[in-house]
Amino acid sequence: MQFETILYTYKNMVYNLALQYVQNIEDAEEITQDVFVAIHHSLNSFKQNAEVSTWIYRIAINKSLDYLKRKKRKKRFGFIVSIFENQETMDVHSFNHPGIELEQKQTIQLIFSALNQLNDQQKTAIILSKIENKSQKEVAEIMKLTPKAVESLIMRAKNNLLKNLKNKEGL
Amino acid sequence: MKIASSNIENNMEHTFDLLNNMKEVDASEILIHRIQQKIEIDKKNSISTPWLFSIAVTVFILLCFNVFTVAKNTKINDVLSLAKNMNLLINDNIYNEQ
Repeated sequence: MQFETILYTYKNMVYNLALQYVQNIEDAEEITQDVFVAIHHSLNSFKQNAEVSTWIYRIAINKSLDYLKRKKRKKRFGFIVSIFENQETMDVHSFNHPGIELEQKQTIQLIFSALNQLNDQQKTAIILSKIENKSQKEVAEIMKLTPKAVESLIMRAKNNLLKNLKNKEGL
Repeated sequence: MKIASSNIENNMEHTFDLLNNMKEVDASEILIHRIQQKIEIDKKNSISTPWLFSIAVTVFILLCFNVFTVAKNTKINDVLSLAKNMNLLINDNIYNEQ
Protein backbone atom coordinates (compact mmCIF):
# COMPACT_ATOMS: atom_id res chain seq x y z
CA MET A 1 0.00 0.00 0.00
CA GLN A 2 1.30 3.45 -0.95
CA PHE A 3 1.98 5.95 1.83
CA GLU A 4 -0.10 8.67 0.16
CA THR A 5 -3.11 6.32 0.02
CA ILE A 6 -2.71 5.51 3.72
CA LEU A 7 -2.39 9.21 4.57
CA TYR A 8 -5.57 10.20 2.75
CA THR A 9 -7.56 7.16 3.92
CA TYR A 10 -6.69 7.29 7.61
CA LYS A 11 -5.93 10.99 8.28
CA ASN A 12 -9.31 11.67 9.90
CA MET A 13 -9.31 8.43 11.87
CA VAL A 14 -5.89 9.21 13.39
CA TYR A 15 -6.69 12.87 14.00
CA ASN A 16 -9.99 12.12 15.75
CA LEU A 17 -8.47 9.37 17.86
CA ALA A 18 -5.71 11.74 18.97
CA LEU A 19 -8.37 14.33 19.78
CA GLN A 20 -10.12 11.88 22.13
CA TYR A 21 -6.85 11.44 24.04
CA VAL A 22 -5.67 15.06 24.27
CA GLN A 23 -8.89 17.07 23.59
CA ASN A 24 -6.81 19.81 22.03
CA ILE A 25 -6.36 20.76 18.36
CA GLU A 26 -2.64 21.64 18.47
CA ASP A 27 -1.67 18.51 20.40
CA ALA A 28 -3.83 16.27 18.20
CA GLU A 29 -2.17 17.72 15.10
CA GLU A 30 1.27 17.06 16.52
CA ILE A 31 0.33 13.46 17.38
CA THR A 32 -1.16 12.94 13.89
CA GLN A 33 2.10 14.14 12.39
CA ASP A 34 4.13 11.80 14.63
CA VAL A 35 1.85 8.88 13.73
CA PHE A 36 2.25 9.32 9.98
CA VAL A 37 6.01 9.78 10.26
CA ALA A 38 6.13 6.50 12.23
CA ILE A 39 3.93 4.82 9.60
CA HIS A 40 6.24 6.03 6.84
CA HIS A 41 9.28 4.69 8.71
CA SER A 42 7.85 1.24 9.30
CA LEU A 43 5.72 0.80 6.18
CA ASN A 44 8.26 -1.58 4.61
CA SER A 45 8.43 -3.75 7.72
CA PHE A 46 4.65 -3.96 8.09
CA LYS A 47 3.51 -7.57 7.68
CA GLN A 48 0.00 -8.16 6.41
CA ASN A 49 -0.79 -10.36 9.47
CA ALA A 50 -2.98 -7.63 10.94
CA GLU A 51 -5.31 -5.26 9.13
CA VAL A 52 -3.83 -1.89 8.17
CA SER A 53 -6.40 -0.04 10.28
CA THR A 54 -5.58 -2.17 13.36
CA TRP A 55 -1.88 -1.48 12.86
CA ILE A 56 -2.53 2.28 12.49
CA TYR A 57 -4.79 2.27 15.57
CA ARG A 58 -1.98 0.71 17.61
CA ILE A 59 0.54 3.30 16.44
CA ALA A 60 -1.90 6.16 17.09
CA ILE A 61 -2.72 4.90 20.60
CA ASN A 62 0.95 4.47 21.52
CA LYS A 63 1.88 7.89 20.15
CA SER A 64 -1.01 9.57 21.99
CA LEU A 65 -0.13 7.93 25.30
CA ASP A 66 3.58 8.78 24.84
CA TYR A 67 2.66 12.37 24.05
CA LEU A 68 0.56 12.63 27.21
CA LYS A 69 3.40 11.21 29.31
CA ARG A 70 5.86 13.68 27.78
CA LYS A 71 3.46 16.52 28.44
CA LYS A 72 2.95 15.48 32.06
CA ARG A 73 6.73 15.44 32.55
CA LYS A 74 7.02 18.89 30.97
CA LYS A 75 4.22 20.19 33.18
CA ARG A 76 5.97 18.88 36.29
CA PHE A 77 9.25 20.45 35.18
CA GLY A 78 7.45 23.71 34.36
CA PHE A 79 5.98 23.75 37.85
CA ILE A 80 9.43 23.36 39.43
CA VAL A 81 10.82 26.12 37.21
CA SER A 82 7.91 28.39 38.12
CA ILE A 83 8.69 27.93 41.83
CA PHE A 84 12.26 29.10 41.31
CA GLU A 85 11.49 31.82 38.80
CA ASN A 86 8.31 33.00 40.54
CA GLN A 87 6.22 32.64 37.38
CA GLU A 88 2.70 31.37 36.89
CA THR A 89 2.41 27.86 35.46
CA MET A 90 0.96 27.64 31.99
CA ASP A 91 -2.08 25.45 31.59
CA VAL A 92 -0.64 22.91 29.18
CA HIS A 93 -3.76 20.81 28.93
CA SER A 94 -6.28 23.34 27.68
CA PHE A 95 -9.58 21.84 26.56
CA ASN A 96 -10.25 22.63 22.92
CA HIS A 97 -12.17 19.78 21.26
CA PRO A 98 -13.58 20.90 17.91
CA GLY A 99 -16.10 18.04 17.69
CA ILE A 100 -18.27 19.31 20.55
CA GLU A 101 -21.36 21.48 20.28
CA LEU A 102 -21.09 24.66 22.35
CA GLU A 103 -24.10 23.86 24.58
CA GLN A 104 -22.60 20.48 25.55
CA LYS A 105 -19.08 21.72 26.04
CA GLN A 106 -19.17 21.95 29.84
CA THR A 107 -20.73 18.51 30.31
CA ILE A 108 -18.38 16.78 27.91
CA GLN A 109 -15.38 18.60 29.37
CA LEU A 110 -16.37 17.16 32.76
CA ILE A 111 -16.69 13.66 31.26
CA PHE A 112 -13.29 13.95 29.60
CA SER A 113 -11.62 15.16 32.78
CA ALA A 114 -13.03 12.06 34.53
CA LEU A 115 -11.91 9.91 31.60
CA ASN A 116 -8.40 11.37 31.81
CA GLN A 117 -8.11 10.09 35.37
CA LEU A 118 -8.41 6.47 34.23
CA ASN A 119 -5.29 4.42 33.62
CA ASP A 120 -4.01 4.07 30.04
CA GLN A 121 -5.64 0.70 29.36
CA GLN A 122 -9.05 1.63 30.74
CA LYS A 123 -9.00 4.94 28.92
CA THR A 124 -8.10 3.24 25.63
CA ALA A 125 -10.82 0.62 26.10
CA ILE A 126 -13.47 3.31 26.67
CA ILE A 127 -12.29 5.48 23.77
CA LEU A 128 -12.27 2.56 21.35
CA SER A 129 -15.53 0.97 22.41
CA LYS A 130 -17.66 3.98 23.33
CA ILE A 131 -16.36 6.83 21.15
CA GLU A 132 -14.88 5.00 18.16
CA ASN A 133 -17.72 2.42 18.33
CA LYS A 134 -15.46 -0.60 17.93
CA SER A 135 -16.77 -4.03 18.79
CA GLN A 136 -15.28 -5.94 21.70
CA LYS A 137 -13.49 -8.24 19.24
CA GLU A 138 -11.96 -5.29 17.41
CA VAL A 139 -10.90 -3.63 20.67
CA ALA A 140 -9.32 -6.91 21.74
CA GLU A 141 -7.39 -7.14 18.50
CA ILE A 142 -6.15 -3.55 18.67
CA MET A 143 -5.15 -3.84 22.33
CA LYS A 144 -3.73 -7.36 21.88
CA LEU A 145 -6.02 -8.76 24.59
CA THR A 146 -8.67 -11.47 24.73
CA PRO A 147 -12.33 -10.38 24.29
CA LYS A 148 -12.99 -11.55 27.87
CA ALA A 149 -10.20 -9.34 29.18
CA VAL A 150 -11.60 -6.39 27.23
CA GLU A 151 -15.04 -7.01 28.68
CA SER A 152 -13.79 -6.86 32.24
CA LEU A 153 -11.54 -3.92 31.41
CA ILE A 154 -14.52 -1.93 30.10
CA MET A 155 -16.56 -2.90 33.17
CA ARG A 156 -13.84 -1.66 35.52
CA ALA A 157 -13.37 1.46 33.42
CA LYS A 158 -17.09 2.28 33.58
CA ASN A 159 -17.05 1.75 37.31
CA ASN A 160 -14.08 4.06 37.82
CA LEU A 161 -15.46 6.63 35.40
CA LEU A 162 -18.69 6.78 37.34
CA LYS A 163 -16.75 7.22 40.59
CA ASN A 164 -14.64 10.00 39.05
CA LEU A 165 -17.74 11.71 37.69
CA LYS A 166 -19.45 11.58 41.07
CA ASN A 167 -16.37 13.08 42.71
CA LYS A 168 -16.25 15.87 40.13
CA GLU A 169 -19.96 16.62 40.40
CA GLY A 170 -19.59 16.70 44.18
CA LEU A 171 -16.94 19.42 43.97
CA MET B 1 -22.84 -8.25 40.89
CA LYS B 2 -25.38 -8.25 38.05
CA ILE B 3 -27.50 -5.58 39.76
CA ALA B 4 -24.42 -3.44 40.35
CA SER B 5 -23.32 -3.75 36.75
CA SER B 6 -26.78 -2.88 35.38
CA ASN B 7 -26.81 0.24 37.59
CA ILE B 8 -23.49 1.31 36.15
CA GLU B 9 -24.81 0.61 32.65
CA ASN B 10 -27.83 2.85 33.26
CA ASN B 11 -25.83 5.66 34.82
CA MET B 12 -23.25 5.65 32.07
CA GLU B 13 -25.62 5.31 29.14
CA HIS B 14 -26.27 9.04 28.92
CA THR B 15 -22.57 9.85 29.32
CA PHE B 16 -21.60 7.55 26.46
CA ASP B 17 -24.44 8.89 24.31
CA LEU B 18 -22.95 12.35 24.67
CA LEU B 19 -19.49 11.11 23.70
CA ASN B 20 -20.98 9.19 20.80
CA ASN B 21 -22.74 12.26 19.44
CA MET B 22 -19.54 14.24 19.01
CA LYS B 23 -19.03 15.02 15.37
CA GLU B 24 -16.06 13.73 13.39
CA VAL B 25 -13.53 16.44 12.65
CA ASP B 26 -11.63 16.63 9.36
CA ALA B 27 -7.87 16.87 9.47
CA SER B 28 -7.01 20.18 7.81
CA GLU B 29 -5.19 20.43 4.49
CA ILE B 30 -2.48 22.48 6.25
CA LEU B 31 -1.85 19.53 8.57
CA ILE B 32 -1.64 17.10 5.63
CA HIS B 33 0.77 19.44 3.87
CA ARG B 34 2.88 19.66 7.04
CA ILE B 35 3.01 15.86 7.27
CA GLN B 36 4.06 15.57 3.63
CA GLN B 37 6.79 18.17 4.16
CA LYS B 38 8.07 16.35 7.26
CA ILE B 39 8.19 13.08 5.32
CA GLU B 40 10.15 14.76 2.51
CA ILE B 41 12.68 16.18 5.02
CA ASP B 42 12.99 12.75 6.66
CA LYS B 43 13.53 11.15 3.25
CA LYS B 44 16.33 13.59 2.43
CA ASN B 45 17.92 13.04 5.83
CA SER B 46 17.71 9.28 5.50
CA ILE B 47 19.45 9.50 2.12
CA SER B 48 22.24 11.83 3.27
CA THR B 49 22.91 10.10 6.61
CA PRO B 50 24.40 6.85 5.18
CA TRP B 51 26.51 8.89 2.76
CA LEU B 52 27.89 11.08 5.52
CA PHE B 53 28.56 8.00 7.63
CA SER B 54 30.42 6.21 4.83
CA ILE B 55 32.49 9.33 4.07
CA ALA B 56 33.40 9.64 7.76
CA VAL B 57 34.40 5.96 7.92
CA THR B 58 36.55 6.27 4.76
CA VAL B 59 38.34 9.36 6.12
CA PHE B 60 38.96 7.54 9.41
CA ILE B 61 40.39 4.47 7.63
CA LEU B 62 42.65 6.65 5.45
CA LEU B 63 43.91 8.52 8.51
CA CYS B 64 44.63 5.26 10.34
CA PHE B 65 46.43 3.89 7.27
CA ASN B 66 48.48 7.06 6.96
CA VAL B 67 49.50 7.02 10.61
CA PHE B 68 50.40 3.33 10.35
CA THR B 69 52.48 3.87 7.18
CA VAL B 70 54.36 6.81 8.70
CA ALA B 71 55.07 4.81 11.82
CA LYS B 72 56.19 1.81 9.78
CA ASN B 73 58.46 3.94 7.55
CA THR B 74 59.97 5.66 10.56
CA LYS B 75 60.77 2.31 12.11
CA ILE B 76 62.31 0.96 8.90
CA ASN B 77 64.34 4.13 8.47
CA ASP B 78 65.55 3.86 12.07
CA VAL B 79 66.60 0.25 11.58
CA LEU B 80 68.28 1.05 8.27
CA SER B 81 70.25 3.94 9.71
CA LEU B 82 71.23 1.81 12.71
CA ALA B 83 72.40 -0.92 10.39
CA LYS B 84 74.28 1.60 8.33
CA ASN B 85 76.01 2.98 11.44
CA MET B 86 76.84 -0.52 12.65
CA ASN B 87 78.20 -1.41 9.26
CA LEU B 88 80.38 1.69 9.31
CA LEU B 89 81.61 0.81 12.77
CA ILE B 90 82.40 -2.72 11.75
CA ASN B 91 84.22 -1.44 8.71
CA ASP B 92 86.15 1.02 10.90
CA ASN B 93 87.13 -1.83 13.22
CA ILE B 94 88.28 -3.92 10.29
CA TYR B 95 90.37 -1.02 9.02
CA ASN B 96 91.79 -0.44 12.48
CA GLU B 97 92.68 -4.09 12.92
CA GLN B 98 94.36 -4.10 9.56
